[in-house]
Amino acid sequence: MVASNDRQEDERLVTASLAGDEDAFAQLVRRYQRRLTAFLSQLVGDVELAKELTQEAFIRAWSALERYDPTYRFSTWLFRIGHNLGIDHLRRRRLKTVPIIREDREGAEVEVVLIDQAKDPLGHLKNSELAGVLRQAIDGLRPEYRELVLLRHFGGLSYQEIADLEGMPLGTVKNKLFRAHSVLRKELESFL
Amino acid sequence: MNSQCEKVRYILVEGPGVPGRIDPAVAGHLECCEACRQFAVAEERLAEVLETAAAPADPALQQRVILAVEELEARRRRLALVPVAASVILVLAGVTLMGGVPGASMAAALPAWTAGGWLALAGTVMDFVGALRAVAVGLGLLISTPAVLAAVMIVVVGVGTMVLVAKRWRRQAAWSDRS
Ligand SMILES: [Zn+2]
Repeated sequence: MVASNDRQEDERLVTASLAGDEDAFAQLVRRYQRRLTAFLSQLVGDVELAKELTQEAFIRAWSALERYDPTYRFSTWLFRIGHNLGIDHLRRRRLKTVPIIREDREGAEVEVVLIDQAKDPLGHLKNSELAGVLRQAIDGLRPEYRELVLLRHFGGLSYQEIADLEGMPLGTVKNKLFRAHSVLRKELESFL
Repeated sequence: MNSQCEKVRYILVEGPGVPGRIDPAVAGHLECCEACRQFAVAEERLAEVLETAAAPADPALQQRVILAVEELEARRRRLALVPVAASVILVLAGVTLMGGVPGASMAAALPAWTAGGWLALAGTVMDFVGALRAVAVGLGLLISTPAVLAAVMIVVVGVGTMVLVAKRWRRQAAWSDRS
């Protein structure tokens, strides 16, 4: 019920925005800024960069609002724009630098995300020990799990929204997040 | 762990659809399964940790985004004036080629906000209609056929552009006429 009301409210705000109501779009910004920045911060490992990408995502959303397809939720569409911006950035950065690759617990190769302390997206946590362990736990996840965890817990998207965004069956999202949680619970055991 | 435990744990990982509301079936299972109870506690703690790990809202960033969007919209509206101006020029060019408007009468009616202004304006419209009629009669004699055709084309293109611009002025969702 809550999700359905949210969805209706989003659609109302999009329609009002298209009619030239900039306040309506401002409300959409207030609704999704925190979640999009939180998601992008973890994705690119840099809070300041995530803020720039968030701004760019909203500007692109505004510019392309006529093309938004309400079959999907506005949040899914907005996060897809933000996600693509983040991935493009990571790709460009990878071309400039030599990525550091290591194996995760299950033997799969994962790229090490180098975090600048000053821009650490977990820097706001008072418990620095927890921040460190959480950082390791998230970065240690397989990329496919990591992405879903970021969308779910930092982006605050529902399973269905994630399935829509990733073009994945709902059951696959459930399975992957279930396994990702197992890994996280184990890594963060002493804090739970 | 039996299949019921697994089912319950999947639900616990997904979290409640409505905050604070636990599925009665899950609650019933937790009452009689210690292992799943521990799982539920760990899951709840994990959700809390992840929740606090998400960056807080940034009002300054929100303001920055809103200002950027407003600036973008202002620019879009300014740019929209370019085709409007171009279409007005096209129409005027066409009307001029067709014989022009009775300038003196129109100029006389300009202070339309004065007491007699509206009457003067109505007179001008009549002048204009009369002039158009005269132009229509005189066209064949005064202006060559290609010039008349060119004028008509210019007016049509100008009016068409104006209509298109007016339609584009208001943004419309691609999906608005779907349902
Ligand atoms: Zn159980």
